[in-house]
Amino acid sequence: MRKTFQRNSLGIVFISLLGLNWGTQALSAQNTDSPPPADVKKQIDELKKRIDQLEQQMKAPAAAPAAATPPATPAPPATPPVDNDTPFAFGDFTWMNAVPRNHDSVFDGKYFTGEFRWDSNYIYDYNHPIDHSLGGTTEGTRTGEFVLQQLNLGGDFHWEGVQARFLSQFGAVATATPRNDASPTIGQWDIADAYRYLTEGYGGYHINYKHGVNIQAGIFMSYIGLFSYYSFDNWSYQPSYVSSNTPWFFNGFRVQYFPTNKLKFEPWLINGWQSYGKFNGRQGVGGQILWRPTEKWDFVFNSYTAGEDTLYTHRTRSHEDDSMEFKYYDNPKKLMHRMAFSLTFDIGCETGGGQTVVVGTTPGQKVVCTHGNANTPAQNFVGGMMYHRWWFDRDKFGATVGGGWMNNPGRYLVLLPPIDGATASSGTPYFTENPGQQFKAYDFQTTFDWMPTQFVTWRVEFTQRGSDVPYFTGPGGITPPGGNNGNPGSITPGWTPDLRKQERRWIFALLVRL
Amino acid sequence: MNLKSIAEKTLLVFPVGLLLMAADPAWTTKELPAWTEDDAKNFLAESPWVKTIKPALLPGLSEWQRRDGGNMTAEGGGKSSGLDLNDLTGIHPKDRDGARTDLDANGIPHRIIVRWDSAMPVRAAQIKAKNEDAPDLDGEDYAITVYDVPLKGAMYNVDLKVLATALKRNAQIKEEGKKDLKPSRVIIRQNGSSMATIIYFFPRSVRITTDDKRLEFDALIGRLYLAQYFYPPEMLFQGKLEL
Repeated sequence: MRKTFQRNSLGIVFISLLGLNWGTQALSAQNTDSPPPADVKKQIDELKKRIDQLEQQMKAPAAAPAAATPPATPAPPATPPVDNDTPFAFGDFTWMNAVPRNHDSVFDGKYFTGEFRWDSNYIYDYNHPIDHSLGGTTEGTRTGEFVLQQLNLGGDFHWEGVQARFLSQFGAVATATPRNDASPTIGQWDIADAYRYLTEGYGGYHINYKHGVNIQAGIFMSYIGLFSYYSFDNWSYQPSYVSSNTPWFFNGFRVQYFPTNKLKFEPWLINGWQSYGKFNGRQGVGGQILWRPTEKWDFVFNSYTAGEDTLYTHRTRSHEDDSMEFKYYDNPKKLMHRMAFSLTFDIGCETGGGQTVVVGTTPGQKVVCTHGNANTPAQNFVGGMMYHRWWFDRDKFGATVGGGWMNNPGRYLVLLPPIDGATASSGTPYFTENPGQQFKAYDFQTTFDWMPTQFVTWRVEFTQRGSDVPYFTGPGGITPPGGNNGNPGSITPGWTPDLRKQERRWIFALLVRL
Repeated sequence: MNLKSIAEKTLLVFPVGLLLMAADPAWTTKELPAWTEDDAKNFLAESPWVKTIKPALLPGLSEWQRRDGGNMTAEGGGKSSGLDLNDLTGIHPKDRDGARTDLDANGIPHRIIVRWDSAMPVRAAQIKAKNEDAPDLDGEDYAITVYDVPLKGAMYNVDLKVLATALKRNAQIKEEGKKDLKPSRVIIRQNGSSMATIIYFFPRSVRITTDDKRLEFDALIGRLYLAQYFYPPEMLFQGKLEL
């Protein structure tokens, strides 16, 4: 800059001098006989002296190699503005499976951010069960009827570091989810009823360390099996077994630690495997590692162990659930503008048992993870699923194809069909879940979504499921004539449920999230 | 060419030249003690130590992003994420009525001044200009000050120490091929209810010389993103690098 000033000054003085010279020469030409006035000559001398001085000054910096002239007008920095502080805010992850696609929040306030969800469906089952009852899934309850599957109201209170979130659940899930948890059988206070209308409820405190630390306690979502408990967030309505049959929520304590804006560590200390209470002597422990290195990639690793999640036995359950998602094409200018897929793999087992835990109860058989025999069967789980999604016309339409499989000897993660009102607590003699019993199943889905706004999804889906043993509701249904009869864990004389090895369904759903 | 017209031309050229010579900023031609108050004010408004920035507004975080990121109070708490951009900066249309002509339609300031306040000539100019907003500096660190930041949303009832930690984490001096220089501390001074001056201190233990051709200072303040270059070879005062 200084050099520029010097150069400008030199030029200006030179122009002035030229003008003066030109004027004085002209004067001289006009008045050749008379000498220039003394004051003009003095001015010329002074200006010449000034030019000499400036030229001297100019020479020195010109010789210095380090004095390269910087641009007069700084160009804007090339770095694009990005929020590298808030974890996972460096990119847009609304494309992901299990993440809501909303960019805007309707009920966002300074102290409270409200949330409203609506999930209603109509399921057309090719088996046409006479009792309109679906089994073996947590994303559907009745067929051939309009069903309010899930209605959620709630939100987040937030003030400085204090956090509190609650989300209620009404509709079919208020009975369908708690019935898969046998832990309320132990003890009093009817905790299944106490919690059944609450899908999330926790308080916590946020600490500004690194990129954030949260310490929270209550009922929170597990995200084991990738898919969200809320269908609006998912690429398909019916998730495969590794999601549908694994926990949606935990009741306990967790810490979320964000060492960087791309990584989260989340250890848990919980009552058990999607259980309101604790089955036996030990709490479950586990945790999640979430890593999103770029906007295109997502990796999540969930681990669980130590929990004793079977009534009246000391069997210890361990489970590993790992998923990745990859967005490999994104071109907003095209009609089909985005493609991505998700991949999930689960493995787990149970071990131990064979001892009486509660006097007067029959101890569960001892099991091992692998290499079992007739007396001590192997009890484990292996499963996977893969989904691929396409987006069209600026997120107005979406299509998903995917499916998965599971192998679960011992059936400890097989959802018990609600035969004659059976629950996880009661069990049923018509579909037993004992060590050594095999269960293999597959499914696939084809989904089409119309998303007129970011808050609404109209969904139509075809899903087919199959198993190696009769499991799905057949035309005769799973309800005795005249309704449930007696103890759900007992035999109803003269009646048997109609279970089939295959199920094909159309699902029509309206999903709203505000 | 007659004498009169020649004299007229000469008289025209002379004053233009002298006027242009006078356009040389005072700090390049005068010794410090000779600066007037106007010279100092001009220096504080336009010199290699001072940059005027039009900040960028980052896209707002959705409610999900805040929960996913583990902090529902990010941005100061409960800002909507695009339905009303004014909420992002905490500046509402009602604030703009009347005095707030310094904001654009989205509530973003038209300009924010960023000044290398630890530099000796800047501090001298602040004294000369009787600038009461000048931060108190001990000279131990480089200090870059961001003036007139609309922080109402991010600072409203928020612990300033907590906010300073976030600001410290989200600012740096970058230079190509070198490790980013992070602030050692940040001080926030509130000006009224919704404006603030933010001073970023960088350790002088990291030496900056005229060999460092271009430095990029960038900072995230709430959802406002600032980025600007400084050129050490330009920041010479009486032949000496002053930072």
